[in-house]
Amino acid sequence: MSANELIVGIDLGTTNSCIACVLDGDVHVIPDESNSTLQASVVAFLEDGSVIVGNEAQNEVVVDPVNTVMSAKRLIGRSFTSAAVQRAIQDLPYRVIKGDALQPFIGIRGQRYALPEISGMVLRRMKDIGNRYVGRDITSAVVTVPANFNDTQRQMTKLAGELAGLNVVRVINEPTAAALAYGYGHNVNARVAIYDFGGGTFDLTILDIRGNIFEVLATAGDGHLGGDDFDTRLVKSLAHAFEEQHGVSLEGNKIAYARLNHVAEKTKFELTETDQAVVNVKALSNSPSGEPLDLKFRLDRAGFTTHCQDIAQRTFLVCDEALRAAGLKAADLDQIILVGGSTRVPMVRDMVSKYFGKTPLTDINPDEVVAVGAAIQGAALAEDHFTSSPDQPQPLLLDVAPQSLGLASVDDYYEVLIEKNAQIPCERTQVFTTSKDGQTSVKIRIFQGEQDTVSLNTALGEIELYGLKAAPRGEVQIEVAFEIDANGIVVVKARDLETGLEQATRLRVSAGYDDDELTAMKARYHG
Amino acid sequence: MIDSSQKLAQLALGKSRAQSYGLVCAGSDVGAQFYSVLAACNLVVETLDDMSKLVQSVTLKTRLVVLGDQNGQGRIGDICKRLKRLEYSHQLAILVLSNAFSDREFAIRQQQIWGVDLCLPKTTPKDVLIEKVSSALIDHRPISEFGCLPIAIANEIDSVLARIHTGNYYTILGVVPKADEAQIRSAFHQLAQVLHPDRHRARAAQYGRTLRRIADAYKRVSEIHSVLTSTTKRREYDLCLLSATSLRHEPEKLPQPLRSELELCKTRRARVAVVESLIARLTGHWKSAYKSMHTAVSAEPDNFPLRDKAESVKKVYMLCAASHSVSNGNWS
Repeated sequence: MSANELIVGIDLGTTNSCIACVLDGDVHVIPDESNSTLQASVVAFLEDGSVIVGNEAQNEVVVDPVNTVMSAKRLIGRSFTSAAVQRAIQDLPYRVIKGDALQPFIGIRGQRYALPEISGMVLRRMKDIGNRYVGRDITSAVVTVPANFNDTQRQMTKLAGELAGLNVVRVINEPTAAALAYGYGHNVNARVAIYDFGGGTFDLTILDIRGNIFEVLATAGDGHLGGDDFDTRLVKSLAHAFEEQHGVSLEGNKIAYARLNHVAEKTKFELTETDQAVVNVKALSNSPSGEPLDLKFRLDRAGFTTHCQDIAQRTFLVCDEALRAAGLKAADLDQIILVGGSTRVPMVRDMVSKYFGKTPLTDINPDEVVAVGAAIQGAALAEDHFTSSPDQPQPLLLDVAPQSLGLASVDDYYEVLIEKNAQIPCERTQVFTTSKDGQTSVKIRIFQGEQDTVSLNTALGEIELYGLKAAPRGEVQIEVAFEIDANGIVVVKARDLETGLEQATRLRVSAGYDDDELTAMKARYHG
Repeated sequence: MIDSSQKLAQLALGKSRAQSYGLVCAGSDVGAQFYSVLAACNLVVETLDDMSKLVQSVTLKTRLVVLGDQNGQGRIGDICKRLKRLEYSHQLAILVLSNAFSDREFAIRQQQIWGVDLCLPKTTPKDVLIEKVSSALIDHRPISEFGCLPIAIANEIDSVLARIHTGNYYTILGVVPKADEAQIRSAFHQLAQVLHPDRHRARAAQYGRTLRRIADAYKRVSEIHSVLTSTTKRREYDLCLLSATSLRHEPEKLPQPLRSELELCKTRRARVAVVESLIARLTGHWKSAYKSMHTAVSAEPDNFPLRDKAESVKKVYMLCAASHSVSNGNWS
C-alpha cells in the first residue's frame, strides 16, 4: 500500500487554498509552519522584487493592494472581454491587462503575469507545505475547480499545476470532492445536494451515493456569485456611510477601498459569531483640509440580511435549475451538505433550510472538506483497485460535463454535441466534409455554453483539419470525435473515413497562450 | 466420465468460450499423446526445426504450448526464450515432454533453466498429465488481452467487450428489456466498477494499447446507460430495435416512413407519443397505437399532417376492431 505513488489533494480556492493527503489510510489536512491549514490565495510582489505567497501575503492586500494579487481564480481561463473579467476589474485593485488572444494578464511592477503563473505560485506554496509535512517531494496532485469551470479554465488550472512542478493527475469538481469527503467509507446510500457557496462562485451539485459509487446526477452553477459579493455590497454601504458622515467621497481611492474590503470581510465574519458588529476605521481618508477622517459604522445581523439577502436568494435559482436537470424535487433529497466559507453566514443557513425543507449538515469543516475529498480521490487513483482489499473498495466518481459542448454550424447555429450533465468521460462523433471543390482544410469552431445563439457561448477554440486530399466538394469525409475526459477537458480527434487514417488537426485555444508565451512563463517561473 | 483429453481441451481453452486456438503442440510424438485434442490446435508442428513457424503460431489466445523433444534440448531452450519474449508470454503455460525427464531432479532443473511450467517424461500417465497441466494453467491468466488483471476481472472485461460488439443495449448491460431504472443503474454501476478508466490508472503502464479499448468500452456503456435512463431515448431505442434498424440508439437511421412520421412532430410530447404509437403498431397493438396518436394530436392540435396520420391509424384500428367483433378472434 505504501509503495503507491503519493497523490495529494489541493483545493485551489478563490480566497483560500488547502492541501490534504492520505497516509496509511488516514486523511491528513496539512498545516503550515504556523499550524494553519488554510492559506490565503494571495500573491504579493514586494518592492525588492521578492514574492510572498499565502497567509504571509495577506497583510499586503491592505498595505499594497496594487501589487498584491488576490482572487486570481475569478480571472483564470476567461476572456478579457467576458462580463466576469470586466466585473472583476471593477472590484480588484491590481491592474489587469488585455493579451493578444484576449487573455487577461496581471500587470505588476512593470512585469506581465499570466493567470496560471499566479495560481502556479499559490500551488507551489501548497506543495511546499505538503513537502515539509510528508518529508518528500510531492509530484502529483488532484486539484479541484468549481463545477461550472469550462474547458479553458480547467486547462489553465492544469497548467498552473505544471508550472508549480505538479503533475495534475485529475481535475475534479469541488462539490464532488466534498461529497466524497462526506460519504466515503460510511456506507452511505442517499441522494445528497452539495450547496457550495464560496468566495467567488456558487454551485449546486446533486449526487446519488451508493456505497463506493458517487454518481453526479446534475450540477448547475453561477460563476459570478460568491461571498465576495457580500463584501462588495458591504464596502459600498461603508463607503456610502463614510460619505454621509464626512461629505468626502472615496471614489478612486484604491487604498481606502482595499481597507474597506478587508473591514467588510471582517465584519461579515464577526456577524456569523455575534449579533452585532461595530466598524471603526481610523484615518480612512483625509478631509479637503488634510485632516484624517475616521469611519464609524454599526451593523447587526438583521441589517446584514437586508443588505445581502438578494445575493443569497440568487443561489436558489441555480438550485431550481439543478433539481430540474436531475428530475427531482427538493423533498427527494436525503441530505444537504454545506461547503464554502459563505455558508457560515447564518442568513445563508436559514435560507437553505427553508428552501430544502430540512436542516443542512454543518458538522463538516467547509474550508477543508474539498481538499479532503481531493485527497481521497488522489489515493483512489494511486491505488491498484483490483488488488486492494475488498472490504473497503476505493471510491468511484461518476461526474458530469459542466456545460454543453457544441459547434457553430454553417449559418451560425449552435449545434450541441455533448449535453450539459452528460456523464464523463464521454465521446460523440460527427462527420465533416468539404463544401468547396479542391478544399484542403476545414475549420470547426467549438463552444461551451447553453445559449442558442453561438456568439453568446464561450468560444473554446478552433479546430483545423488540414492537409486534406484535394477532391470535389463533399467527397472527403472526416469523422471528428469530441471527447470530454474525466477532467472535464475537451479532447478532439479526427479520422479520414475513407482511409481510416488519423487526420491532422490543429487546435487554437481562445484565451489560451501560444508556445512563445508558454516558454516565457516557464522560464520566468523556473528562472 | 468425460474423456480425459476432452477435459484437457476444456481446461486449456476455458470452459465457456468456443475458441479454436488455445493450444499449440509441437513434435510428432507429442501430437500422438494429445491426439484427441489435436482438433483444438491451430497448429501441430511435426518437428521443432520450424521454430519461427511455431512461435508465430502462438497467438494472443494461446494458453498452452506443448513441446516434445526429439533431437536436442538446446532447441527447446531457444524456443522457450523466444516464447518468453512475446508480449503476452505471461498467459502461456509451457509444457515440455521428454524421456530424459524420467530423472526427476534433472526435470526440475531443466524447468528452472528454461523457465517453463512443467518438464515431464513422455511416459506420464494421462490422468497425471491432466492433473499437472490443469494446475499449471491455473497459475496462468486466461485467454485475455487483459492478462495483467486478476482472472475474474479479465474475464468480466472480455465478456463485456464481446457483448458490446454483438449485443443490444439490454444484453450489453446484462438486464432484461423490461428492467426498471433502478436495475439499469445498478447494472451500469457494476460494469463501471471494472471498466471505468480510473480503476485501471494505477496499472496503466502494463496495458499498452488495450487500455484504450477499456476506455472506449466504458464510454459506450456510459452512453447506453444515458439512453436507457432517459424515458424518451429508451423508447426511441426500443423502436430502433423493433424495426431492426440498428443495435444502437440511432433514430436518424429508422426506415423512411417511420422517420418522416417522427419528423412531423414539433414538440417533445408529440414525439414521445408517436414513438409509442409506432412501437404499438409494430407489435400489432392497434388500440394503443391509436390512443398514442390521439395524445400526439392533443399536444399539437394544429399539426395537420400529424392529424392525417392519426386518422389513418384510427381507420386501421377500427378495421381491426370490426374484424375482431365479427370473427370474435383474439385481437388485443
